[in-house]
Amino acid sequence: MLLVSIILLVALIGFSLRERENISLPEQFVKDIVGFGQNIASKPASFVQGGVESVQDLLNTYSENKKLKSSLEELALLETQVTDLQRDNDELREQTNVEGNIRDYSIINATVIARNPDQWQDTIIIDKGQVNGIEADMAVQTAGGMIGRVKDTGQFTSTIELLSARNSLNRVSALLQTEESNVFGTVEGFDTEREELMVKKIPFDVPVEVGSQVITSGLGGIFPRGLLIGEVTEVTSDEYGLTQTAFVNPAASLYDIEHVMVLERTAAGAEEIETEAEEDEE
Amino acid sequence: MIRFMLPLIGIAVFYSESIFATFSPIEAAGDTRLLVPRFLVVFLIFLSFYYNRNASYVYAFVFGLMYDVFFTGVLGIYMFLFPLLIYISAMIVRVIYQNIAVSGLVTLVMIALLEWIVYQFNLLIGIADMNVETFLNQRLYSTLLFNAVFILIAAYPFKVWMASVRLKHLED
Repeated sequence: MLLVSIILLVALIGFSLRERENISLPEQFVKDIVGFGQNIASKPASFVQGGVESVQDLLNTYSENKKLKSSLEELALLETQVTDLQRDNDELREQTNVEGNIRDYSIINATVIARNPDQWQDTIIIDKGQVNGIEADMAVQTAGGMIGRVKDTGQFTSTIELLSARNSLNRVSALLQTEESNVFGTVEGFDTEREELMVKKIPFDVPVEVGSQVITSGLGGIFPRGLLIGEVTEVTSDEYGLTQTAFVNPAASLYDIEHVMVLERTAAGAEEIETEAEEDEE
Repeated sequence: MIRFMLPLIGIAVFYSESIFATFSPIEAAGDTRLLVPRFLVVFLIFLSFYYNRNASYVYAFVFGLMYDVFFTGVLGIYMFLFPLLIYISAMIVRVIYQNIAVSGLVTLVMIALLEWIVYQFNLLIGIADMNVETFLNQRLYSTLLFNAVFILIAAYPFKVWMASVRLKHLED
């Protein structure tokens, strides 16, 4: 009896650790039922939480207002610049006939309804699923910046894997905006002691300043370009001295997450273009 | 109505775990502390003590499966461990005198055991890379404290509810 159950256990674990496109049908079924209940159960909880937070907000109002006033003047200037540049960019695009921009995306707003209680894998669960048009591997961000990607989806809920998750497949093609130029690297892993992301595979001969902003490059073909990931805090060379590793302080909090935006990249990635080409040939 | 009471409490406990998990981690005593709610373990072990052991195995299996599918995505860990914890706790209470305080303590030991097994397991399959010291400091102590508070609050109501349902069944 014990032997049988251990064999069954190993088989099940092996099955679920395999890299899968999407979860199996029975899993999907259980997930939908549990997710439906979770949606209902989280409503009163988030109501209470919201109440507590709004009281805290009220207490902070005065000092926040002061800060906001000072930054408001800068904002107006920045806004006019952005619209000007945007128009300029659109016109140039029109002239050169460039279609599709890897910066473009459509947004689906969602609320976090649960966090994985065992807290080994950094995953959260949101209240939107396949019926709302969410698919696996979409980028997820909060107002602060990018936080992760959609791991798998149910009908009414989706599981988000945060950037801090330890998963060799959890890699994001990143771009470091240094003073002189753009430098590319990949976000690979999370230093749990420093609580910072590691951007690896940066060419060793490019100087990267502390304080450079890190954004998604959009070159992976899955995420849109330009989502803020964080800010460089330290640059070291890797163990062989062939590339550099930058420690990046994430722009968005990876713990206190309440509302998220799921981003669907509108420009086609390499895979989609390939499949389209194959269809055309046929 | 009373038939549905225990499954309903179980479901409420199951969902409360993931809601309480959104408060974690906290900064306390100069370090990041993870609070892992293990309320379901408390519920299941009390169920085996004060209601019916065989029924509690079924509960443990079903809730373990739900936990695996919905939260961890790695099938089989909790589905296997929850019944195992009930089995071990049954072995323990066979040799010592049992009252509600002992039940609470045994449950706390079981939570520590569960944390340890899951930690070792996650090291094995590469989900975790914490060293033992960090595990103890950041996870285990704070988790045990957190769940001890829950046991203090919930032990007596759990015992009373389960005993009343059991009595009802015996009368029928």
